[in-house]
Amino acid sequence: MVANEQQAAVATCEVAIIGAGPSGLAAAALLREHGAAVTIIDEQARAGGQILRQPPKSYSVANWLPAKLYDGVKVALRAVEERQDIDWRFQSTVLGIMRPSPYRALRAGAVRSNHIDNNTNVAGTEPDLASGSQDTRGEGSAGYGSAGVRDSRNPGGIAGSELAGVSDGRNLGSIAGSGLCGGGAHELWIHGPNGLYLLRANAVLLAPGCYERPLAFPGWTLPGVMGTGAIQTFVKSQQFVPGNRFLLAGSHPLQLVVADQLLSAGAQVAAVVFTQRKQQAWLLMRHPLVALRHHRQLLETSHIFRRLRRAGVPVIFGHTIVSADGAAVVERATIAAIDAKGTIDRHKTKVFDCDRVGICHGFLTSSELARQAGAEMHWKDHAGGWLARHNEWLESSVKNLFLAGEITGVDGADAALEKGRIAAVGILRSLGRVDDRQAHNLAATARNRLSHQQSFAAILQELARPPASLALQTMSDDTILCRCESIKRGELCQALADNKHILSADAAKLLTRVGMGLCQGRLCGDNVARVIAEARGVQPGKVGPFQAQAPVKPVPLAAFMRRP
Amino acid sequence: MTRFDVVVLGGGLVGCAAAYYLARRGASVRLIEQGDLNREASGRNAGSLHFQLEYRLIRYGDERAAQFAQIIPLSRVAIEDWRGLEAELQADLEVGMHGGLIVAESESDVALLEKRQALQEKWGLGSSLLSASEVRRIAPYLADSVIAAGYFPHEGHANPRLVTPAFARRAAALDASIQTQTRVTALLRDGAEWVVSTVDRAGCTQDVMAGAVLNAAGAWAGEIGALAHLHLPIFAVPLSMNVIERAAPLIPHLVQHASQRLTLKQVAAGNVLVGGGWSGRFAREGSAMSTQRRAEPVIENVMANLSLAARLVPAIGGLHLLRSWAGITGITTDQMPLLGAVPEAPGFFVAAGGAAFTHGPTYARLISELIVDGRPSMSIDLYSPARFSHINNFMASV
Repeated sequence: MVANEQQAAVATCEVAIIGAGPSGLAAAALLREHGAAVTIIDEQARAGGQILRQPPKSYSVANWLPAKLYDGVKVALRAVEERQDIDWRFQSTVLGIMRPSPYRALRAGAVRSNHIDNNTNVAGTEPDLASGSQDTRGEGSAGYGSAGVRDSRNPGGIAGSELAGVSDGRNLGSIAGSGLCGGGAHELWIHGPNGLYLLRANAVLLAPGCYERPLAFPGWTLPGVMGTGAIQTFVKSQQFVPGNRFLLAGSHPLQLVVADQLLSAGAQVAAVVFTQRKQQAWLLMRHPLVALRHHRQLLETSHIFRRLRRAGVPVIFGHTIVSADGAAVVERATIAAIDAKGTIDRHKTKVFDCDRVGICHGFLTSSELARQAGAEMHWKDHAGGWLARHNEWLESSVKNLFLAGEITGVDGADAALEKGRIAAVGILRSLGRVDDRQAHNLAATARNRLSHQQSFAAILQELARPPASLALQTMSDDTILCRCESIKRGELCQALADNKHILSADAAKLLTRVGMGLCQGRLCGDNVARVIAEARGVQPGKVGPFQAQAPVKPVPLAAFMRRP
Repeated sequence: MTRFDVVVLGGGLVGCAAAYYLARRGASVRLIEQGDLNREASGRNAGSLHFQLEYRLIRYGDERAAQFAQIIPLSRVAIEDWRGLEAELQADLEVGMHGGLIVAESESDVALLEKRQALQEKWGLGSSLLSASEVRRIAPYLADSVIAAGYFPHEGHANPRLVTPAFARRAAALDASIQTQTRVTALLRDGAEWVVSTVDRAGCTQDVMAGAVLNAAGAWAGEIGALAHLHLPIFAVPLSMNVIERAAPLIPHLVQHASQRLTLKQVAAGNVLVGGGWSGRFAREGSAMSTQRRAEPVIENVMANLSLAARLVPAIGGLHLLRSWAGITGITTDQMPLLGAVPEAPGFFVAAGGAAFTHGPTYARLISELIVDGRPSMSIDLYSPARFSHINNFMASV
């Protein structure tokens, strides 16, 4: 019997960018400017990432994202979104970043020569899965050895179409030849509108962004409790208000922006609650670096405060949400005061009627692909949890896997643009399209801007930081910790008490199922690490992230089926 | 220097179980694990309890199949061990022994089943051959392509997440000393006494004396053997596994295929596990295959494995794949376990290889009897490392 019953459809490209947010878009523009072929993969239907969540093409949203905060990223989006010389692959999820299979070396070679012959550098279409798959079922009919021969024809019509205006006058052959079969290439498992296929890339830019840091408290799994960013996504992309009366609670200034957007979209806001004490916030806002360089953001903030006051929305400092209650959905939320040491005072509470609660304690990086690929990670709590390590060109510890955007630290969209540019230069350098000196020149401006933005981001991260022990204080033993597997904090604590050898998040996952469900630990991972760290008297960074396995997101089994 | 009666090397199922059985027999035990407990094949396998001959054992011709069938006496003992294990360990291990089906989709599959049954019966494991309608009656979830099945009522599955930790807890309660994140750097023999040198993650080194060393390092048993200047013919292989999202109870049986690589089962939580011996791929460390880094699944194999699973159980076709992974296990040159003393190295014992989840608790119990009492309660001569004496004859000194 042959070891493989089926060949997967394979496409190739020069640079694969995962994520069409600000950093991915900025990188794409620069890479195209220097003649590199670019394929962009994104889960959404349109470019822009979460920050510029666009309305569906069929919608017309008047006055989309008017605030000046979005100007920089909007320019980056407009610069590339209509470009036909970029291979856009929307509604597509990268399930894994793998080492290229040695079993397909010859087939990839065939595709490569096709690229060179056509002198085109854009893979125009996704592979046709029907013809890309081979039914070789049956004993001994075809082994790996014959795969190369069988597929020396164009496998599944992957090779790109000729595109006018793409020719960059460079010798593509030397570049394509340097990586495809060598040790530096990567192979992405992608699930797109036409099914599952592989994309082999000489270099990968991973720019997956971040998601909202969840806070577990009694009632956090009730329908109606949402991430504030998720609420904003509705409002931003479709001007749709997902509820009537909102309570926003957290530590991140984004709350102010969302409250303002909700008001202008016609919703009621019961209150905006900050964990920080007012003095703390003012001290940081008056930091000279912020005041001088970011007066635009400060001005915007003071406008928002004025509009909230005018609408009668209380902004409450030094409090946290402690519970959400309701029969089937959220009907009210309780907040409690936090003392100067960061301890919740459950005697000082306030209750608000509301049908939606937005939670906003900053962001966690979408680190699953980096972890799955085996990139070295490090823990920096308020900068986004698990961050990927990188060199000066934003290359990770995995060769030709570059990083941009929040995965290196949640520094915001403007910084993401610059990171995208630096990583793009790093890729050009790695591919041999620019030499060292050119690379340093090309990256100089972006590096300069990035360092300013990161100084501001560091202040914002400090400002947006909830008390270190907040997550452990809001969870009771009865609070669901892992909602996919319905595991309570108390159950994890008991398992840790009974099994002294459990020291890591991974070992706890194996024993208790925390993090084993549909979300693969994205929602519980941070809190699980805190619970284990507390039980073992170490920092969460010592507990480690959950090991990520491909597929990093659930994928319909049907995508793996052999096609008749 | 601290002395233990037995130093167990390897914190997987076999090592933790051996630590428990040895401690229960009164031995002082230290267990040493280079990583964390239960983190390799013991915790990453599919948890099948298969007692009928697996496809891998009968696919290489009649002569070899007849040789592999010698594993059945161990399987028969293992059935009893698993039946009593939850009571023995006072833990829920999600042991479900509701029967196993090896399904046939063609006449040649049926012929294979018949051959398999004849071999099994010779060694005292009686299974029945079900007709299509009988299969349909007990397993309505199977596809119409199934025309017959070999059925054995004691097969099933247990949860690999739970078994090793339960043994470790009980061993610790009996004062076994368990050291994780600790690597063995040397194994020196003085007569029948051993000196075991270790280094932990923080760089602290330690030497302990041992009356006996038990190599329970699974895929790494060869490396441990090398520390004692022995050749143990065991190879690391990366096997891939897939877990499918939770579904309502549907599949009470362990399902295998007569002529293809498949194991399929539904665990207590509702997830469906699909495996069957499909290869993953090792990471590279220079020119060598690395057993220290994670192995990766291979997409063609994942596709073939899942296609086969969904063809046999169409109801799972609408579900989502949650994760695929590769676990590293050890396979000997003749696929039989290495279980017993190494004659060329007095006091050096091995329990590794073979179907080390299904047979693991039994390996551990029997080897503890051999080490402490001098003879096990059933003969394990057929699985003894002595069958490789022709190699170690050239490796060991007096």
